[in-house]
Amino acid sequence: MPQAAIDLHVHTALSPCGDERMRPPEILLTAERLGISVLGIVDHSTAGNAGAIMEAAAAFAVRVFVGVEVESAEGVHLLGLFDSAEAAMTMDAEVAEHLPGLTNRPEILGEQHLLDAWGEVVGIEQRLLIAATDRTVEQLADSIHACGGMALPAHVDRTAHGLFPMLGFVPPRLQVELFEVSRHLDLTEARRRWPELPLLTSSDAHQLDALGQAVTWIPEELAWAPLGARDWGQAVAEVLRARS
Amino acid sequence: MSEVTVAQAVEALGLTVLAGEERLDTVLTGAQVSDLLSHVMAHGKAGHLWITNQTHANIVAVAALAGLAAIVVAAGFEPEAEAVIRAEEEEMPLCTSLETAYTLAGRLYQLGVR
Repeated sequence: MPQAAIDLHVHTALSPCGDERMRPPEILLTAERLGISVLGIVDHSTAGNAGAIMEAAAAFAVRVFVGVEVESAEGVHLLGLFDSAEAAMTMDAEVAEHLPGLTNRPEILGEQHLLDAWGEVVGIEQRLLIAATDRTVEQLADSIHACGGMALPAHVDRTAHGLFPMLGFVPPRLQVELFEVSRHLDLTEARRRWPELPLLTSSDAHQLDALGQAVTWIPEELAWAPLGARDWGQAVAEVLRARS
Repeated sequence: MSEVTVAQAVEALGLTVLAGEERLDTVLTGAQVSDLLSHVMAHGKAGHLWITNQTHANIVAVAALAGLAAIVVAAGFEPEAEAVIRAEEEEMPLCTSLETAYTLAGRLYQLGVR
């Protein structure tokens, strides 16, 4: 069965740590050239560039989910991915209500660029996006689902903001479709550690040359399957679980 | 080291006990401060008092697995309701304090918990 590469964790220049060249056309063109079929594009605590990405994505042979990488009260990072910018912005508004209301310090953390579909800077996000919400990881996952998205804890192996170091084990009531391991951990080793979980790996790219440094392979047919974000995530989970 | 029980630590540090009142007679073998639950799971020592800012219900299971004597949630953080319920079920003393982890650790050390 032909396989397709997916990379569900890529940042834009709206993330303070994201390179300024992480603009919609460059991200999409790079992914297309690398042969990546499905992208998940997020920013910390916001989906402010989701509309621009979806507009630009129409011109590329890449399936795109947009969304947020949000931090729970416990310090756990969770990806929420959606199949439309509208759905992503519903979650964006939900997250905004639960941020601490601080202001970004660009000289320390970097600029946060709001972009249009051509990659032009159309605004500067002033809020501090690298911050924890006051919601538990379970509450955040439930909110992502309520907005129609798929939820996946990011880089679960990482000491900084990973689910396992922070919380020790998967909370029994946590509802998520997939679990992402960082590119620093080999997927085979990860499957040995957590055989019961549907694991994937992604690049967590903050620069163009990091895109695709870690990808997960799924059947090509599934990559393009006309399913909503959450159903698609569940279908991918079934395939990945079978590999453990 | 002098023998200090959980109850004596509660008294000396002015802790609020939310759950596990029936298990305050354990003698402390030491204490630790950590917000990484995986680290406590792997390196927690039986009989230790654990000071943390984490409030998630998982803290109770982690403490029980490691055989800890008590959990103290510091700096005014409030454990989730689920954590309190779990702590009652596990009979795991779960306490809170407005003091920071730093201050609590210092006081415990002065008390003779080493």
